[in-house]
Amino acid sequence: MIETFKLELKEIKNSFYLLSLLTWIPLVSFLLIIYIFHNGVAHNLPISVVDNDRSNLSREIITQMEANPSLHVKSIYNDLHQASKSITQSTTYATIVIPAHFKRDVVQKKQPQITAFINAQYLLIAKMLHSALSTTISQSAARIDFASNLAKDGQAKSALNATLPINVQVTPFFNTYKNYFLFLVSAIIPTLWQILIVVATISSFGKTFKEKKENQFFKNRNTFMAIIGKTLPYTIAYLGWGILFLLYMYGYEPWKFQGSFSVTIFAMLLTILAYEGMALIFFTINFHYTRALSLAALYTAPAFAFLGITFPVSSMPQFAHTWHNLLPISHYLKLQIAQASYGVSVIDVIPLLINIAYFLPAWLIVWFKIRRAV
Amino acid sequence: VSFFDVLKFEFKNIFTNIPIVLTVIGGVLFYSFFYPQPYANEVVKTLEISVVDLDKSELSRKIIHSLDATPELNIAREDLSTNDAKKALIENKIKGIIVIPAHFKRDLTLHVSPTIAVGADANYFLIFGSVVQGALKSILTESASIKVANLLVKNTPLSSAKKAYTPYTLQTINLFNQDMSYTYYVIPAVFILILQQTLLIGLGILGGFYNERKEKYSAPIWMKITARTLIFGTLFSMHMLFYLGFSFDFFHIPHLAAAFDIVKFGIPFILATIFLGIFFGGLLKNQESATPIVLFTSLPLIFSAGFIWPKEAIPEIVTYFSLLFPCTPAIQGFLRLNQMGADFSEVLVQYGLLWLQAILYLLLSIYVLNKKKQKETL
Repeated sequence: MIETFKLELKEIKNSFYLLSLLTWIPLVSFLLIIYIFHNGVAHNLPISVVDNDRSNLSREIITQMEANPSLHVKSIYNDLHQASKSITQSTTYATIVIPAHFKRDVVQKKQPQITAFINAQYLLIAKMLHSALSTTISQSAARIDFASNLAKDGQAKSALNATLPINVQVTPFFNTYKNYFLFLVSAIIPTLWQILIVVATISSFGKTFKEKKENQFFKNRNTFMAIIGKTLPYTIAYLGWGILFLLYMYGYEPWKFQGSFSVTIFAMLLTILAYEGMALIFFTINFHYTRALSLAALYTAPAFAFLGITFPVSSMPQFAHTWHNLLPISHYLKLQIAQASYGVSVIDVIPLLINIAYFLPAWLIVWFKIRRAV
Repeated sequence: VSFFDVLKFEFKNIFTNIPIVLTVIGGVLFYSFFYPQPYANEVVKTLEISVVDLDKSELSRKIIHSLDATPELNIAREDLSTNDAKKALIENKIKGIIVIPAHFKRDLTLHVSPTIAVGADANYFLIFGSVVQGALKSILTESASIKVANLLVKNTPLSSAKKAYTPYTLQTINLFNQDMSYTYYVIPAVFILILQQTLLIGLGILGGFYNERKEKYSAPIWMKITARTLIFGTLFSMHMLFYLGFSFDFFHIPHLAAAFDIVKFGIPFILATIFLGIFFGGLLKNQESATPIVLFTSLPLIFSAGFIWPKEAIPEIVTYFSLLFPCTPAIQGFLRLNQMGADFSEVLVQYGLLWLQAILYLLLSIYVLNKKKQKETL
């Protein structure tokens, strides 16, 4: 084991490509993802307003929308045609139409309606706009209502109650700031990580077999231990990257790690071994380097959509649900959330650890196939 | 050599290379079926929640009933304390918690606005959003009816009491994707990325394959480029029509653009991608480096294309860098043409950018193939 470990280290030292897979490629790709999302919250989403009323009331509503940190009133148009053009060109994401005689209708208690046309093709952005706009409009409506109740009643407290009989307080559990950084980056980086593990494992073995060095590694040795030794540099390196990612996410960033760090790291180790096993299965089908990489691409590239982070697993059809279970990273991410956010006890995540461990028998198949091939 | 010989030679090397075939035919067909799978049920199912009723009055029961009647929500359990409910949330038995405070009814009668707490797991944003949206809708409706009732007590006529509960309202209309479907949202953009990535992998493997071969392959550069453009251009034009036509229909994704506009916009996209692929392949020392390199770019490219995370929030350098890849203007252009029904004149910037890329990468592929040829003749 130690010998093949040392041999592999030498191989890595002499191959810029293998060295890259272990060092700067993970660094650059992880940093790139962090950099894309480093704002965490989307501020100043551009919208436009078609103000058909042009009263002090409509102007006040526009000011209030501008005051919402998520919104930015980019332009005020005279007609809907210009506004809809700015939506199809994606220079704005929504158009808010304030109807003519708006102020008059409010005074006459006719309850006029403000209409927001939101570009729902950009679903996530549309969801942010939905919540920003409905909060702004209901707050501004409540303020006006409060003012008129106060004028009638003279007492602030009952005027407030007349405005809002029931308050609703929304609590985002485990991600208090509703930060998209935590939500997306904590899933995207592990997805990149699993691609790296599979590619590096196939590259290591592919290179050895392509250069006909397999006898150096496996002849006159215990095949199983030799395989473990050969993959060990990758196991260590990717465990290191995994730990760095966890430390960055939950150490440097403001989210506290609630549960057991060591169990999460142990799960990472199992996940690495699971993916190395899968990678070697792809490779040992017929020991063809490039073909194995094509299979690896089919297996690892679409993973993000199946994780259940952006779209709930419970709403997926059976096929997608099964595929979700066939990706070790799905189980790892559940465990990561359970530990980092919920801080559940170690006993409660044992089933997840077992789910990852189900992939480990792949190593036995690989052992058998490599022993037969050498 | 005649051009026909070169074409035959390239054709043979492409279609006898199993990894290339596996990617540019197998992969493309597989992904067209595979990628939309998670969203195939379309809507997010009813979400199960728990209610903690600390008031136990007929008014709190009424709130609970109206919550249960909301299509988004289903009350799966009632817990005695917030802690019990939170435990159920962690065990994944429920997705959200609603807490009605003690003395809820008394406070309402005393005109002290009580507060109902709505909580959900914000690790999963879509679930979080649906729980909150459903709960807010139901509670605010209930709140409004209480207000109307209060006004009625004060002898306001019913019709004006009903209208008076809020001075104005907001109506939201979802454009282009009325039901907020995930399929419509993700698939049109991801399909463009898949076309680009599989094409780049195919040409990358091919270029790497030629570069690692010992025998010389001498043919005029223009013949090599034209031959590859013809073969991959034909194949991927078919793929593009298959994706944007058949697959869209199959998954009921609307497509608003005229077929002619799609073809017109698609030509520079495919050409730019082919030339980028020839250039990329020319740089590779061997065929196995193609797949990993392209694979690593997929996630950064999809998240910097501006349709998931708003382009306003993405750092500018990343945006400029992503414009070097054909998929970025292509996704922006195709989404506007095909999903939002934009006029062709509204995507001229993207269209021009794709042609610019095509020219740039054509020059770069000529350069890289030429350099290699010089090395061979020396």
